[in-house]
Amino acid sequence: MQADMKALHKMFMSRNVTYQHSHGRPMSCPATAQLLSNTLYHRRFFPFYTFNICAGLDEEGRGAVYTYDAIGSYERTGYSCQGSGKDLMQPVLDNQLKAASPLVLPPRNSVTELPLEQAVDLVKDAFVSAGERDIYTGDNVEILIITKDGIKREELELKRD
Amino acid sequence: MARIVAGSQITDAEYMRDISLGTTIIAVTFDGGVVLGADSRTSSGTYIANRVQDKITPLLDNVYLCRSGSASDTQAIASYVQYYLAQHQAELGGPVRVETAAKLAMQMAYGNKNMLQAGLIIAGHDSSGGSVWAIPLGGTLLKVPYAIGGSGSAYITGWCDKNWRAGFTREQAREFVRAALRHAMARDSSSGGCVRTVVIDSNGADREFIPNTKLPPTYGELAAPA
Repeated sequence: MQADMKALHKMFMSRNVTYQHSHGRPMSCPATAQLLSNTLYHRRFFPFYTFNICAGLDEEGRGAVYTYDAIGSYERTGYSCQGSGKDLMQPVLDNQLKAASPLVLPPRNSVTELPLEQAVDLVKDAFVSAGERDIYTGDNVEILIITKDGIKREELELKRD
Repeated sequence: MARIVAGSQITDAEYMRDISLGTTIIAVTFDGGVVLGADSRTSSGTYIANRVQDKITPLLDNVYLCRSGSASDTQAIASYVQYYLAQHQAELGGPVRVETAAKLAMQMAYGNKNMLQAGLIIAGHDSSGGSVWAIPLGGTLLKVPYAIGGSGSAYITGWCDKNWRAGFTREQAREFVRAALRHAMARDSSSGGCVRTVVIDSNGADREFIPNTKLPPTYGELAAPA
C-alpha cells in the first residue's frame, strides 16, 4: 500500500539521521535489516501493508539481500522477489540461481556465483516475463546496482499495456 | 483424509478466479461498412490466462461479434447465435440482415440476464450498409454509429466523444479504432496484448493483427525517451 510505503520510508530516513548522529557513520545494511524487522513487528496488530526487500553490502563488502513479510519476519537470502508478480518471477529465479534439489547438484552459493552483467540480465528477464502474465507489472523498471564503487541506476522499459 | 469443500471456498482461491475478458472492444461504422476492434487479454484474477486471445467472433460471413465480460458466457451465447443464424440462413435462402443477428443475441442476453455477464457489440454489413449494435449488460439492444465496451472502455469514453466524427472513411475508422484501443490498453490493467481488427464491407470480412510493437506508445505522465 502506497501510504504505508511512504510512511515506512519517512520513518527510516529519520531513524538514519539519528543513527548517524549517535554512531558517527551511516547505518550498515545488516543494521537496517534488523531495524526494519523491529519496526514491522512493532506494528504486529496493525501492520504496515508492505512487502519488503532490503538489499545492500554487508560489513565484509559482499552483497546482502534480506526478504520480509508484512509483520517483520526476515531472512538473509541470495535472491528474492515480492509483489503482485512474485509467484511468476520466483520460479524463473529459482531455475537460474538454485539447484532443483540439493541431492541432484552440489549446492551453489547464490550469493557470490553470478557475474554482474549476468545478474542484471537476469533481473531484466525476470521482469519482462512477469510483465507478460501479470496485469499489474509493466511500464518501467528501476534497477539499482549497488557495488563498493557506489550505486548505479538503470531503467528498463516494459510493455505499456 | 479427504475434506469436501464446496462452492465459493474453491472459486475464491487466487488460482480459481473466473476467467473474464476484462477487455476493450470497439466497433465503428464508416461509409461502406464497419470496423471492429478488440484487445487480446483474458485475465483470471491478476493472472493473464491468454495474452493473444481473439475476442472477435464470426456469426456470419458478413456479421461479427465482439465479446466482453465472462469468457464462458460470451462463448456460449456466440455458439447459440451462430447455430440459430445458420438455421435461419438456410431457411431464408438469402442474405441475413445484421439486425436479425443482433436481435437474436439480444434475446439470448435479455432472456438470461440474471445468470449472464456478457457485454456484446455486433457489427456487420448488409444491403442497408454497415451497422453497429451494442448489447450492454442488461440486454438492451441499441443501434449506434459506434460503440465501445468492456472494462477498458471507461477510460476512453471522453476520448472517443472528442475524436469520433460522422462520415469516417475506411482508413479513418481503422485509425480511430487502433488509437482508441491503444489508449485503453495503456490505462486499463485488464486490457492489453495485441490489437485485432476486422473490417467488414460488401466484399466480406478482412482480419488484421497488430502486434504490441507496432502500436505507437502512449507515455501519459511518464517521460518520453529523448
